[in-house]
Amino acid sequence: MKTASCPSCGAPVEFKSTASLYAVCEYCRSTLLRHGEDLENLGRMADLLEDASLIQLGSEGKFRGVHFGVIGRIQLKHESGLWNEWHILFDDGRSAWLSEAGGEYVVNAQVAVDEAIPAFEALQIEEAVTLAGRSFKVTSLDSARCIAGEGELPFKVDAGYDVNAADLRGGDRFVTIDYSETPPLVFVGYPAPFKELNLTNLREQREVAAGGTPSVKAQAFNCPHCASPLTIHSPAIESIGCESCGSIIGVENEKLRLLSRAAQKVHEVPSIPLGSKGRLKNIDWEVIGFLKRSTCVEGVDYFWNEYLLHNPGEGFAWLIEDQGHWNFARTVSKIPSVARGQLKFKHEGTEYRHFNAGKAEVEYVVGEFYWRVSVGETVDTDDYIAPPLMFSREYSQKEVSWSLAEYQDADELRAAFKLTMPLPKSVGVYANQVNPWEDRHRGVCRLFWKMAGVALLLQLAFVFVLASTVLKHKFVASPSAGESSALTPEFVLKGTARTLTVRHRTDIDNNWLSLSTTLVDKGTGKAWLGMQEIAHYSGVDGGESWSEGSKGDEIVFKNVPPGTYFLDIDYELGTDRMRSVVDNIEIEKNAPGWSNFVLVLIFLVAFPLFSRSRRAAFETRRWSESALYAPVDSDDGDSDSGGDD
Amino acid sequence: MVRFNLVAALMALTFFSWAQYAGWNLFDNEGGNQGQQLRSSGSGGSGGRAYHK
Repeated sequence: MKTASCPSCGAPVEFKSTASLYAVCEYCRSTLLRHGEDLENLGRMADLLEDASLIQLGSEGKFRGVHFGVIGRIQLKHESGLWNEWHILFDDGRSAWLSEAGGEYVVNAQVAVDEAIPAFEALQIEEAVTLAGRSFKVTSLDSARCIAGEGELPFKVDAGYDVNAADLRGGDRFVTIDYSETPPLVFVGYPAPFKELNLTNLREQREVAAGGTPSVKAQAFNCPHCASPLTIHSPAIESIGCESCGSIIGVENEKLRLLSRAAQKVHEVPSIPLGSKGRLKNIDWEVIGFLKRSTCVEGVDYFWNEYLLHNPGEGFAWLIEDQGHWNFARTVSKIPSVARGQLKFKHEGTEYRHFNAGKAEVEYVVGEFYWRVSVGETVDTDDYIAPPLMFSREYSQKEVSWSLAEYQDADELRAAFKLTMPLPKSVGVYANQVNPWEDRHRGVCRLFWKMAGVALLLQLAFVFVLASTVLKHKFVASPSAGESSALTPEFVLKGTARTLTVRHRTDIDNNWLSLSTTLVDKGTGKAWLGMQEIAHYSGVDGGESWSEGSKGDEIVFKNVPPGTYFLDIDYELGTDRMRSVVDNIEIEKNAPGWSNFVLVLIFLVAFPLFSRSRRAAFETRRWSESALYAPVDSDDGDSDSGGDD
Repeated sequence: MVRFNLVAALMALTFFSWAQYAGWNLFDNEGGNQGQQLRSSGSGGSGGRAYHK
């Protein structure tokens, strides 16, 4: 650390970082340039605008395990309000910037890049830009004015100069291209939730809870139009919609400015009152803002409501209510790479499918917002679904943002916010509503495969364990003999045969064979008769081969008692073809039929077919709400084939 | 749904096992029950008749 005296007022001026060339005197606000041991006074720095930031010079924190201290700041003003770039010095001597804008914190540092940087005017929102071999997408194009600086700074800050800045995102990285110099400066960083920065020595230190979560006291104001009391819960708040008169008030310099005087024609009563507190996703939230938005599809306006939630340590989240269906949504830093009109994309292993696209317009606002909200403000939107999740892209000429929503159970929500009034009843199937038949179908398919396996094992047991062959015999039927007979060798049945199957397999071709099979108990003389006709014809007709009939047949005798048996076969061979026929006879005891197995499989498969049809019906209802397209009924995730079972 | 499916499937398997064990088959060509010849000349007992050849 280097200490010198301010040449203007004599106050001590400290340089904690060797990278700091400039310092703004804390007492007289002189901008001082370091020349070795001496300080040169470059003139008085403009005053900082008072803002509600919790961070101040001397605040300390941790980023990726390395401790840092806040040693300087530049303050910038853009269309939507103020943002701060805090100059931070890590314990290992590196310095970086902590950007604080719109409730998002990004730790970034300047890097050198080899690629040519496109001109600011040439950039477009969502344009792909390659920097240092990585691909980024432009998410914001903004012009800001540097207002003032304080503390140690690595460059000279002239109040009043304009800065064109482009924000880009790619993966978990955040890039800012600062066009205030030529060539432009490139800063690469990582978004960091406020809580993870473990900031201490904050401006309202006394109100920081033990867990590191600042408990910011809401600041009270009065509406400049109707004098109703207003509150601001977060330093990121940029505008407030007055609940009483409908005016929209901009928050600037901790002062209020009327942006829109009682311009709102409609008056809506939020289902969850502003100020309601509840615990969702293990985080305590307070409802601080309410938006009604609409979209027009084929001349019909569709409305939905959005509630802005705030937690001092977590930032902001949204509760979105549409036709009685609720979603909990948060803006994401790690944006997916999706081209306009792309039908589907994969993000972190999950496939999202394009569901709707449109233009969302703000119809009514009340409460606090982290941007300059106005009635009539429009953004283009795209929704991609992977129930219960939904990625939404909102884009304008200047900015694109992505939020990830999760379908929220209304009863859980009601309990979380301890609401006494009933919430709107849900209508129809919502875009990212979980298909209740999805899990059921999976369970039913799983059960089907288990039961089909059991049936197969049972069938195999009947075939290979309980059944047995008692005789195999071959005889030749001659065509010239007319009606003839043949006897098989004797065979012994040791126990009662519940079934005794006599199976004929012949080499008959273009002829018929009539069989009268008599099963004879040699001991008692009892006999059982079976009549069969085997016929098989084939040929070629018009160049196409055909065949009909079968070369084999079987007959079953039931409940045959133990004993010694033989078959007496009377047969007659047709004269369509004068050729002998060889008949292989096989007699099997207790042979099971396969038709029962097929029947039981048909019965078992009826359940997954039913659940599949119900699941498809739900999806049809879901996609009927999509203005884009109906999906092809794919078997993705379908377990009929056993793929995911 | 799954519970009902389980009960129905278990009943179906039970019935299937019984049918296979008993030799019951919807599509069997069953001997001893066919034709007038057997019934008219049968001598009783398990559908059998006397063999006179």
